[in-house]
Amino acid sequence: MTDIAHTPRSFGQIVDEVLEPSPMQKLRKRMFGNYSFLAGLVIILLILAVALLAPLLAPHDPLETNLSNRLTNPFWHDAKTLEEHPLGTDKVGRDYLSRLIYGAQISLLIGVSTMLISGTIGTILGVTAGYFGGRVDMVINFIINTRLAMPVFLVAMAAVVAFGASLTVVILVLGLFLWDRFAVVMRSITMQARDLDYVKAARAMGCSTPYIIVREIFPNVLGSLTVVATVEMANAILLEAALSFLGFGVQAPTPSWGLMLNEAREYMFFSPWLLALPGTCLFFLVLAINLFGDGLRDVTLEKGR
Amino acid sequence: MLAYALKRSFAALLILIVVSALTFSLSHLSADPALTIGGAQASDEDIEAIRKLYGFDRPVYVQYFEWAGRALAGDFGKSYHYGERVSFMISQRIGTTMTLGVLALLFALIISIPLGVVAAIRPNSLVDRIALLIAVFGQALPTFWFALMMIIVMGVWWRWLPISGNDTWAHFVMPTIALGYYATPALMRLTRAGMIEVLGSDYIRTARAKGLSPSVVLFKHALRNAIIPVVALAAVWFGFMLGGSIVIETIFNLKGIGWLSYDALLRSDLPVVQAIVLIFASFYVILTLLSDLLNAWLDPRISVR
Repeated sequence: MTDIAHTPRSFGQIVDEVLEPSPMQKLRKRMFGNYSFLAGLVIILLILAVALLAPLLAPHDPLETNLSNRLTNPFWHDAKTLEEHPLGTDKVGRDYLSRLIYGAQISLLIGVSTMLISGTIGTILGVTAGYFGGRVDMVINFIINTRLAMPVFLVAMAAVVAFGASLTVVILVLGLFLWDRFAVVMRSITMQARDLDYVKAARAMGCSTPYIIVREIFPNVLGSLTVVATVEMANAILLEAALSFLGFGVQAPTPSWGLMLNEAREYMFFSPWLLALPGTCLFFLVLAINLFGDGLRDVTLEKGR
Repeated sequence: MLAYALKRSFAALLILIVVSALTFSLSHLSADPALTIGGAQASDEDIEAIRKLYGFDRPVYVQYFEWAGRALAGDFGKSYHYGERVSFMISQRIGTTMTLGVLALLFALIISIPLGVVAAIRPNSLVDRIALLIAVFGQALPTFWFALMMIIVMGVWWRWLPISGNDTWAHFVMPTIALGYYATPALMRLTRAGMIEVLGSDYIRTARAKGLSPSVVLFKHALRNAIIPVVALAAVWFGFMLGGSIVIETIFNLKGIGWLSYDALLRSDLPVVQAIVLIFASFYVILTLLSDLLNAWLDPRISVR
């Protein structure tokens, strides 16, 4: 049996044994060990780069029509198109690749702005309910339950009909509807954080309520807040696509993936790629956001899944 | 328990009142129904006459109470577009939507429960990871796009299934899969989490120690307990599925109330839209109430809180 004390070790190994890794090192280790988090992050960054660099990447103007060059085939059906229109053109001769590239902008814009609006509403409601409890909690809980009872998709369609279909209306309607999960999660976490010793100490020291909420409670809810934010962002992107697909969302000629699916529907039998491509883009964006969110939960929270 | 049940029922009723008032005022404040009924050719006098005839000239709250009073008796007025009684239009189509909802839920349970159980038997094993992967992919797949791809592949290329209408059971296969798969990730994760918790409990160890066969322990002792929250969540999902039926019924031309609400929104047919919002909301509220009461009955600690 070899004596452990006599095995030769490098200086680095000794340091590693003596020093505990710092919290930041642990976090970094967990982040890079989590494939779902990494894969999600990489795809999101890729799509974000495509969206930001759209004017440079897109071979054509996504709105430029050319009626003499309608519904051309993508390169795997017709190699000649590879240079001009690699993924073919749509029913009015717009370059499909350029529309897909610009579509990333629309989906990300909808996802991020909806998430910011609903996140603000939900966090304020949830933290207030959780921190004050009692009557306040009862009222806010009732508001949450009322919101949950409303069929989001149907009411969103009705609101779009009432206020006119546009990108702004879709963002506002979804933002005003998708705060429920934020409120539910924030409420229960704030309730737990409220009774932590250091929060009690802050209260005993006479800190003001806003100070306690912002400085003592908020850092506790931040991890869950980001996880819910990813879920709701994905949700908003899917809902916008479905609304636009039914004609109750973003209006033509905006290159929204949902709207492109709507326009492609009548050609589904002869040009199925018109349907397959925007849907695949949607799938990868939502998949990446979900992977990132799942990974983030495993990385930041003690209990996984 | 009785006090808890009464309190919850009262809250449920209050939620329905608020939801109905919100939808009613939203639709009446944003669009002038007289313009919809009169159509583009109507003169100002015609519009005025229509307003008087339908009572639109009265304050919104008076109209609401009149509408709500009748709605309680099951009378939702007449469709602006078809002139038929809304209650009749809905009663003719609600069966299709209910059939679709029940089938979709069964489909989701049949997939998710076995998958969740198998994943829970060996957490972090290959099977568990595959199940998780299926869940993550399923969540990212846009429902309506999945439906369209199924139509292309199973309906057009392979000619297995009819793609439109609701004449036979075969017409329900694709809509059921499209609507049902979306609920599987949530139900599977809950089954898995519940089974892992139950399998680690003392009474399961006792059952194993008694020498009972693994399958008896698994199904008779563990699953029976782990499945309760899954059933409760499934009830809530049924409410969500009714909302999701709008897109699916529209795509497959399945003439249930989801399709009806789409049709009514295209024609700004407010009485129909209001009635369907209220029906969807009632379903959600009643199912949530039942699942809460079921949980409280099984776990008496809940009703004391």
